[in-house]
Amino acid sequence: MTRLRASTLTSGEDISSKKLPTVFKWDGGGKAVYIAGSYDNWKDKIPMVKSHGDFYTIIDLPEGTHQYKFYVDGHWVCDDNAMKVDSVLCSADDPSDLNIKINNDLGTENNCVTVKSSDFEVFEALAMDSIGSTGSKPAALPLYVCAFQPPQMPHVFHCTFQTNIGNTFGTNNNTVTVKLSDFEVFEALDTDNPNLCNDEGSLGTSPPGEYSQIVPPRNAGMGFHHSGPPILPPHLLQVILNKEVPQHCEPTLLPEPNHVMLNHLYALSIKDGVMVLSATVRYRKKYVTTLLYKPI
Amino acid sequence: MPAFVQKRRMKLKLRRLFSRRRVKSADTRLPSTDEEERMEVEDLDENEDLVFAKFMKAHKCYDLIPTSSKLVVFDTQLNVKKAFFALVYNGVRAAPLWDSKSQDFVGMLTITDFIKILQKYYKSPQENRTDSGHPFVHMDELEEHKIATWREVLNDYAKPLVHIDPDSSLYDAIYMLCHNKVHRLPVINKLTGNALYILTHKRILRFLYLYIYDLPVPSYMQKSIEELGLGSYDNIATAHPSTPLITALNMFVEKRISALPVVDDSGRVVDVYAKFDAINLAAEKTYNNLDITIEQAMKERRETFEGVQKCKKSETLATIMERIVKAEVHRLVVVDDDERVAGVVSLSDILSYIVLRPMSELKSTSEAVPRKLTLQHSAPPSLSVLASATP
Repeated sequence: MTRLRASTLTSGEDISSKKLPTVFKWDGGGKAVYIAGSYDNWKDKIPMVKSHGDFYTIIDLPEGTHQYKFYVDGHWVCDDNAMKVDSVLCSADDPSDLNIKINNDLGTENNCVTVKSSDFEVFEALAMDSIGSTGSKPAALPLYVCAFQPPQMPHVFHCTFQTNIGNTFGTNNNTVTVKLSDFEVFEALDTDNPNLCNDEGSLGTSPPGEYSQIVPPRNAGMGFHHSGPPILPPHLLQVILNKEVPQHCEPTLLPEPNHVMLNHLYALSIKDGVMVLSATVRYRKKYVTTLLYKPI
Repeated sequence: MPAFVQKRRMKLKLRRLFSRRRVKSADTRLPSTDEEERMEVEDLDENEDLVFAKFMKAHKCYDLIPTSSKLVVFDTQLNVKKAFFALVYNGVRAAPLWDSKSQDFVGMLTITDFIKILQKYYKSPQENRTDSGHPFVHMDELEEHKIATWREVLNDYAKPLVHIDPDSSLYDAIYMLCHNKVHRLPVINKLTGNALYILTHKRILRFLYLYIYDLPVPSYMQKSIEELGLGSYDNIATAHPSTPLITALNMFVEKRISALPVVDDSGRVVDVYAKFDAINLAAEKTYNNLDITIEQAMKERRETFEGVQKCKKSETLATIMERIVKAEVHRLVVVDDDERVAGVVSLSDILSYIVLRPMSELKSTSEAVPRKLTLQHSAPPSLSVLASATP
């Protein structure tokens, strides 16, 4: 058996020199989960990181279709929910790929993923954005990508190249398609982010603008901090005069007021030229709510 | 039970009652009541008639004020009609009047004022039919008068507002209510000039009923009102269901009465039309036609009416007090065996009998026998004992 793995990798790199971050997920449980794939000729078992019960990793992959398989607690397994490809029988229709026959001990079935650069245009756009805003080229693509699992591909696609792998992985590999549409959520996120920073109402964020040790001129901040009257403390909204009094009670009886309500002036909107003002005052242990009817 | 034991028990009960009161005054950081008053209480077992008078002397108007209450106040510049609507809207029967110029309370606006305005300015549609076919007369005075104007008409400025300080005793309050012949007594704090509450006979008697079962029962409570001569029995004004409303209102004002028993053709009591019922005219805005009969005017009330609160001359004062408090009415119609009107017993009759009468009787007797003096003698001995012990 000739080992032709290198050629796979080379051919992949031929198509595109760029490597694209691709997220892999294992949701079948286990204690220690690794992933290995055709992208490096099944050389390395990359450990996956457990997050919320599932295992994830992001691997930078060149464009093209890649086979991969999971190594869970010492056993090579396929993700039955992901695209699979028979490592022996599947035929490649990618002309750039040669027939590959890999002889390994990983079984006859592999998972499979196709990485397209078009799926990553959003990241390119993102990268351009960050260049524009920070003036420095990011070393890596935005990492918040890892917060999202690329979905299990709903669109079944055929394996784009033929592999003839005589390995113990089995003859079936899973396949996965990565599509632009799947990344729209990132786009949405990205557009949300600048809004978040500029949103004056959001609590916990510092106001936008440059920060330095020099005190800015006073009126610069005025417009922002004093844009309206302060918010009314919620206790004052509990007006005892508005509370329903049970029918059988004497109509002059009111619920006991909260102490913060005392000595505050309440007003009824002017109706028919009459204004009604009210204030609750304490007299020793008794509270008196006076309503003054006054014409205006 | 020997009289001695009974007296002893009564003394204990009163001690309990008064210790409660002392705690109250300590709480509110009031100067404790003078020695003289307390001695009078100790003296009570010698005159059980005084129990309610003592109770009222021992409690302040402040004690009766609810923990949290509403008080409606009208500026004297307010339109009278709007003021009456506001009374109805707030479910209250009276409001102190505030004069912005003098910055003081100058009077009270009550349902009596409403009745007086109606009675004074009402022009019968019958008389005015020749002017216009419209049956309703526009009452300009009610529509346009300010409270201040109305007070000028009544010449109310001459009379100062009858009010009471929260630290005054309930006894003083009852005295003021009965002697000034008013039904609403505003409690005004003399330090701040703030009105705090409106005292009425009903509220005072209800307050007494919170404690009445802890108090000894004076012997007169078991006597009938006929024996005690309680209530009014002469010249009782009554109305017939077909009496025009305006006639009834005129009777309220002219006879200075607060209610009219309504009797049918056979002379039996079927209803009571009270001053308070006139507020319905404001609530329903039906005051433009007062030629309607009492029966028509009370049609609305009929659904919630629980029947006339009646009593008989032979019933005891205890029974009658219980009934009048439970029914939350101001008066009971005294009827004979044929349900004919014999008289009326009102809250003010009861309060003045159980509270004011024993006190005035005591005063007249204490003039003959210097009672207070003997009391003062009973206290100093302990002092002299101390004085002799110290050196």
